[in-house]
Amino acid sequence: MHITLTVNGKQREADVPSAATLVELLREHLGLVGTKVGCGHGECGACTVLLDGEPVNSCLVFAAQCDGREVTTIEGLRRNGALDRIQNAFVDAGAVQCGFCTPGMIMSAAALLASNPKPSRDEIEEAISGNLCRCTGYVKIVDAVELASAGTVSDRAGSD
Amino acid sequence: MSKREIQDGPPERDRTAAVGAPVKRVDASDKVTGRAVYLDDMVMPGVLHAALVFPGCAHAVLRGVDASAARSMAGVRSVLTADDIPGENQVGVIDTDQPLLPFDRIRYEGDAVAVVVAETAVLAREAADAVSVDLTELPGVFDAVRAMEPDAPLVHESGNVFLHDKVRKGDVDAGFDAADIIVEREFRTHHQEHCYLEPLAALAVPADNGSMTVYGTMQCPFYVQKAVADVLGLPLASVRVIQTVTGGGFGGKEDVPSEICACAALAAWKTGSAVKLVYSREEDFLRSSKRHPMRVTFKLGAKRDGTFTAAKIRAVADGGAYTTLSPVVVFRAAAHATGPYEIPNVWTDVYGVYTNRQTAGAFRGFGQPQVIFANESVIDEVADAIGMDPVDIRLKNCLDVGKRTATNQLLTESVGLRETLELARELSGWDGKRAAQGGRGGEQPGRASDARDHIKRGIGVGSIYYGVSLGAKGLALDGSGAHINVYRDGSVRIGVGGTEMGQGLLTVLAQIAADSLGVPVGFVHVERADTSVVPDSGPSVASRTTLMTGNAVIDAARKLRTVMGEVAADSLGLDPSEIEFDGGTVGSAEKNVTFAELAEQCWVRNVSTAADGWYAAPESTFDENGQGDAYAVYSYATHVAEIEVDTETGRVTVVRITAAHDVGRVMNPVTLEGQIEGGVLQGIGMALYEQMKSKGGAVVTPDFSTYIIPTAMDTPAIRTVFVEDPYSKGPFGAKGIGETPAMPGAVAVANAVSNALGVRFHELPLTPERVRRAVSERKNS
Ligand code: FES
Ligand code: FES
Repeated sequence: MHITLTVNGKQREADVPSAATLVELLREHLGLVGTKVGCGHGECGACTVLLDGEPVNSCLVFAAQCDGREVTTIEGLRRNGALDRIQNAFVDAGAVQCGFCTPGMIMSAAALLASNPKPSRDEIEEAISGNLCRCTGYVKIVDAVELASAGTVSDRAGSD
Repeated sequence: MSKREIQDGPPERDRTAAVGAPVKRVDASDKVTGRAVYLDDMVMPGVLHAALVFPGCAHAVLRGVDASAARSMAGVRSVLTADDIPGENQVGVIDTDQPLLPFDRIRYEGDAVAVVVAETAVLAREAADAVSVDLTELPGVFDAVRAMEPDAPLVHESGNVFLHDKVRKGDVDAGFDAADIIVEREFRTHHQEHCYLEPLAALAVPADNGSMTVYGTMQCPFYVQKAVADVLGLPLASVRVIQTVTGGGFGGKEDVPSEICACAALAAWKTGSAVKLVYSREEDFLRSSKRHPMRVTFKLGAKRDGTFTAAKIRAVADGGAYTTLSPVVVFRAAAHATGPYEIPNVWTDVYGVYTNRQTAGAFRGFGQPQVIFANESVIDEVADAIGMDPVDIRLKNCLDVGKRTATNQLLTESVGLRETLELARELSGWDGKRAAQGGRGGEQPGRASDARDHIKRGIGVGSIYYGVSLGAKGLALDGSGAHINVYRDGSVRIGVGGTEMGQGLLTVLAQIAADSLGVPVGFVHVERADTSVVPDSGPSVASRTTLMTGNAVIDAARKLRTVMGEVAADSLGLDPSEIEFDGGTVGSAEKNVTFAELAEQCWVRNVSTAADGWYAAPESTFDENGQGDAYAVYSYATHVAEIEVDTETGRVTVVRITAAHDVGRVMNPVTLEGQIEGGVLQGIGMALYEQMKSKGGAVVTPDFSTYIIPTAMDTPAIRTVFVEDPYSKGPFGAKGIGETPAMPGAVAVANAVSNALGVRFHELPLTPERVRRAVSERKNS
């Protein structure tokens, strides 16, 4: 079926099988492989993206449900090649290890900070509790979200 | 914080700018932007997709595979079975008892019998489901102790007991005779799953000349190279293995990637096309290795003053269907079974047993967390019985320089255990909290913390030691290489055989190289492992990679300094002995050039600025009585856990962990702290939640909604503290750190729950049911 949607601010179109999920649309049809698949069943949060600003597990959402809607992925956070404040905070706080959970974690954090700019540590932990991380023990991830909310992070041009 | 001065100095240079600094991870930017390319992110035109056919039972005679229906489906390119393997049908890394594709016998549910190749992954899966497997089911054996009985079904004709390592030290009977108190208990632990977030995945790309390039998420590219070469009947030089960005390992990507990579390579060889194979989470849980379930009987004797006199241990490890890495795991469990204490008389037997369950292999701690649960629990019971504080009894017996391990190894340097105990005690406020147990109310352990009188608090401790690297049973694998190439602009590229799996290796190696060449970290780029760049460097496991690869980098840098230093001396009119490499310049204080200028001068003079480095582990020994210098050096750690337990629901909450680690030398405090925090949560998982359950060999916890790992909501306050007691042969004094963070936590939590409730636990995890049962048994007794 044919789908038209806005991804990271740009209008995109794709023909996908009717059973295709949003993560398949992103990864296989639109080449946006920054969104990861850790389980495929809504259990790990690695595939978290924003759908009309709300965090969703993109492995649970059908692509067809996204027709006419707006999706933001990890690739959409960079502005003019520069890392955004949450991405910089993750680098600064040492919140990245293997990195496989990181894109989903950052998208959950982005959704939280959009609705609650100054969250407590408990609120941060709750907001990312659907995002599994096996490497970090979460401490530095929560630190990073706090850091991003305080706004005292480095500017990084990124790798391009 | 107590920090000893470096006594012996690092092996090479003592000035450090990068080593020890909180250098930002070199791979972090790519990972936070989504640009890091993991295996499944790789795009290759014309790539085919593979899927595996599973037998659907745990033990059977395999009569045949009928793939005719699958083969006739549109888009299916090939279905491969054992008959299609051109080389050796074998992927076992230590023993050759594990076929890539079984040909006569099914030994566990994950024993895939065929590989289906199709144009899409969905089609490959559908076709795999259409393959029928002709089986005659056999009775299986699903418990290691049962498997040792003479009438148990045989998993392999050679018998179910395939390993027995022992330690015999002193006279254990005399030791128990001399004891005032003896405690003997049996302990159980179960399968724990690694749960790296990136499932196993491989991509094999054939070349017209018959060679094969394999990409994959892995810890040990040289294992994969060997397995692929064996299976395809190719020389090693025709197989190139490149590690992609790897989403976690923890031991689970040590030997297991050889299977998936060899399946993809076989499919690529047969079809002549690139083939990708990516496991679903369920397939990964089914087919990946697990932490060995163990049953451990532990008997400990002590004097009334707390001095240990003797220990006797019998442990049975469930190795599952194949040998895989069990020999190293069983050896490690045997060598370390008595914990980090000097005990004059030791009698240890550890058995490795086949069952029709999933294979057990490497998992952070490598057989030790299971025996640690036993030894650190029994010590607390002994302490209780003689009225001694648990930290005091550990301090009384702990290893130190001049003391001897259970294998009778004399420790000569870098033993920071005592300091980890003292620091953990002090920083956790142990004395006040523990002393109040059963005492005077308020916010105290063992007492109602407030009006919620069903909430009890407790505090517990666990101490460990860990022989760094492979030790006496892995010496053949224990060398590592590095290749350094300095370009004419002074930038530096390094190839290594060790792997970054998330732990921060690339960053730490860049720091080591920067200080070894006297340049800023930004000059240095370390490439992920590639078998075509350095000699076989062994596996990235056993906390060995910073030590081994780091020393190889230092060796290569030393050679470069000699060669480049001569050019500098010549052009500056100095004696080579006056040449220093520091801060991006080379020469003396008065006369010098920048490192970049020197690189250009070397280029103009046709002087090679590439060098290879190598480091081999020192000799180690383990004789038939388990005596010898089993490992070159040990890392040490103590964790103190503070918990709350709800006696009505049985739910345990970990409130705080104090983690003190002797690491020799801190390479990067931020990555180190991160590794420790991650290990702490894995320990909490083992203590409270994690048990991979199976019934008749079938996994009944196949996903993250049934196999529970800690989330951010389960994270306690974690205080980490480093002890730096340098190791003279380590890079800048460093020892290994990979495993130890995941080791003492589980038993520290269990000991804390016991402290809160006044009951002991002999089986993990401490699920709410288990805790409630213990509470009600205590009430009734
Ligand atoms: S991949 Fe979507 S939640 Fe795990
Ligand atoms: S950094 Fe590896 S899973 Fe989070």
